[in-house]
Amino acid sequence: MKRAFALLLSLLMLCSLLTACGGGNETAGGDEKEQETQGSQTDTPDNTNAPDEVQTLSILYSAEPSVLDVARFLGIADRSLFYNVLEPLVRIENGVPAAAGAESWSFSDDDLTLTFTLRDNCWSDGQPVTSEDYATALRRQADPKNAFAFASDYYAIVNFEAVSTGEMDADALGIETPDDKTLVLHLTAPTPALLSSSEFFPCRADVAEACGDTFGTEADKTPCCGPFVLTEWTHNSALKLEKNEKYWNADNILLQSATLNIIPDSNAQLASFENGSLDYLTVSDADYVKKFQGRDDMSEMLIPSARTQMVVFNCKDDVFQNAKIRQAFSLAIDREMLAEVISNGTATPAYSLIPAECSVGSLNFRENADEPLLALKAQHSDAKALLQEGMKELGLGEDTSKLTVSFAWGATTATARTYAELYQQMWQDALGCVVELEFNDSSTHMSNVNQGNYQMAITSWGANIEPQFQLSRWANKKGGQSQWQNADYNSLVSRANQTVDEKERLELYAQAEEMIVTDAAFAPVYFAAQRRFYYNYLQGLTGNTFDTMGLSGLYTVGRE
Amino acid sequence: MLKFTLKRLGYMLVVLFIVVTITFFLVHSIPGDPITAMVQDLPEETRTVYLARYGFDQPLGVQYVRFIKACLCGNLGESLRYPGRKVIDIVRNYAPVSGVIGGLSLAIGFTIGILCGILAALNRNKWPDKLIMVIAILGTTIPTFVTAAVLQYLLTVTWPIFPTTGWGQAKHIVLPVLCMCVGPVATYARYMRSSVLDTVNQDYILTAEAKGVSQFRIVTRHIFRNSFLPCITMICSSIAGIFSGSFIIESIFAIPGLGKYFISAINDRDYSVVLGLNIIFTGIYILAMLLCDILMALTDPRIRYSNDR
Repeated sequence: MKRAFALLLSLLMLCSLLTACGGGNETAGGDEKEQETQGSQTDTPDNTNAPDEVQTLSILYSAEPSVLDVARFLGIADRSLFYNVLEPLVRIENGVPAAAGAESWSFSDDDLTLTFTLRDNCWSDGQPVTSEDYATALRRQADPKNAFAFASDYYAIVNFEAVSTGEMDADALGIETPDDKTLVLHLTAPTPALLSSSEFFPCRADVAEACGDTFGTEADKTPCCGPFVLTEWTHNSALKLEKNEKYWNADNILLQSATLNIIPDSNAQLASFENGSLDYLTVSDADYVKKFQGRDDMSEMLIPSARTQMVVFNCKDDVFQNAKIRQAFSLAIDREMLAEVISNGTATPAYSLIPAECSVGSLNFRENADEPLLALKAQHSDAKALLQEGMKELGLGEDTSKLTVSFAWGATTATARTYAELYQQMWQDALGCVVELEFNDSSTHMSNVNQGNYQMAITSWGANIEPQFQLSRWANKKGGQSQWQNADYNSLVSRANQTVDEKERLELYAQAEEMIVTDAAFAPVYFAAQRRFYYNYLQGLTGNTFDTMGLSGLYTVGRE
Repeated sequence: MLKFTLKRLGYMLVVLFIVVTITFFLVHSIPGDPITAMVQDLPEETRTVYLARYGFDQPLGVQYVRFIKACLCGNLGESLRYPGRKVIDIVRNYAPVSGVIGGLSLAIGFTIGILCGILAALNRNKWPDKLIMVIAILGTTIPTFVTAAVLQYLLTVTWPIFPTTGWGQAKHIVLPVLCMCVGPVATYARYMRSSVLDTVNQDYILTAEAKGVSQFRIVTRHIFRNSFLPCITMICSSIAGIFSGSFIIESIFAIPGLGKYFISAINDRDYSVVLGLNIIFTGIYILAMLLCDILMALTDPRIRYSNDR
């Protein structure tokens, strides 16, 4: 009898569990709105080049956004969502700053005051976007309570640094809003690259206050005033954007909705693209590249990532404190081979830090500045001899086979191991020393590199339009991740950052780049690029790396 | 019985406390912190502000005391990687997702597994037995991610019957459940088979056969019931695992479940989420074990009496 009871009880448990789970499904799934991903419009044949009536996209989104609050977000990827749901004062369009939330802007004669005039725009609930909204965002970004990770992007504003570290009150910030349509920023020094390197988003003070800590954590707690409105957010799964009819430029936006899918697994991404669940995708897998190249309904484009892959050297290390040793390791890198093998032919060998896409004002940087490593290479044809010289200077003798150094990677995958071994082999062959490999997960790796707990490490740095961003990474007291402390370099970079004349600024940046690359604080390896495949019906995709236009220019033509 | 339950509850709290303490110090001993994991080359002053904001500038002992105090007040804290999301809300939102997938696959896997096990045992060394055992061995040896990747490609690209990834509709559940119930089917089939074979050799079965009880009755009343009991122990621990989800399946099918959340929290050094989820997983597991013990005590008086004494 008791056994029968026990059996019954366990069956009951199972049943109650199943019903409980069934109930959970409804709450997790949200409303069962049909996710239309395929336009069903059948146009008359003469209309084939006209945009489809149903305009909707399904694309891959890189990661779950941390929080959609401009003062607390942590992920660099989160910005791309802000470009879609918020209206920054200025957007980058075709590589140059273009009017967006601001109709116009002007610098004062001494370049220390920047005045924006806002255009008429509305939040999706109908409230007008005012200068106060932009000021609110900056004030919240400076508030130490929000511990904003990218606070240093705004140090050009008077007292921003002091306020963000809690040394001054928020009132001291150099921001003024004389009226609803005017925003004035007071700058500590002339900052010609400000608009191409920092974003100014608006933020609703009333909603932020009402929501408290949960502001920006759900779709209904994220006020929108950009080209799109965030209507659904299934965390860790998908975000749904709908066109914002109250957006100032709504008439020129064709796309009606977009689903941003968060798919962590690369095979699942490829499968989703292959069966048409995604409209475009960056593909690096060689087999899939070949497969997609053979499809008639797809096209490809090569997009420079404006990112420099590099090996950083720890200049405080016993061995790598010596410049000649660093130079030897830098010169021994076979950049052509690595770019070809690792990137499947998409990357460009890098003999400098600043990628070809960067410019200074209207001048392209790379066209006006030679790659410093080419000159160094011409000067020293024998990297091993250089290493021996360096070793002698350190009292390590001449026998390079007695030198053992370690090379750290921030990934533990099989691919990472293969690539690391490629570097290892290359250095061991060219220099005769022993290179040991160290693999860590990316968080540990990044923490080690930032704390100077390494000898050589793989890393990469993305660029902004102006070289200022990448060069500034080493222009601080610590000397960046390389701990390469050079007062001349620091003053050169900061002088350049404040030089308004484009030609002069470019010249200063070029000098700084030559200084750091020649002294080998790091060894640039290649400039990365991505191969993107898309279905032929997709229009409006651009390869402009720096653009911050979001999805607003995309539409479909002739989708079946 | 009450004394037995209370005693077990007491042990449970001690275990929970020990697990939480060990996890706390382990998590904090991994190099890196959430913001270093997210932001490359953070300025020192920003890092200081951040550490102070979350109290990480305090000595570890102080942090531990504060953490335990907060836990006792029922506050598991807030995610560091996803500011503004409370750990308790994360559990509330994602545990049901993992629960649906895990619960369904366990129920289906369990049922099919048990049936296959009985079928195999009753046809010992005949073809159904051999077929089922081959399938069971394949099911336990082929890793889930292989099954998942193959099924995903076949059923969403080659024959686009199901959506590749996503969550929210019934059709999204089919593939993940299919992949996840392969394991339970194999495990329970093998377990049930040996359990049935043990029972078949018991004297009381022989007695029943001698009495002339029909084969059907022997199987349903004697063999099934007696060989099923050991499976209760197994299913209790499996049920405990339902809500912790499967990292692999959730990643491959982009399902917003707890399994993926937990693993990425470790990678992101999201201390409070790791700790909070750990407390909840441990709690569920211990509770399941307790229920299992109670069930066993109810079914088998010997356990109860030896414990009472």
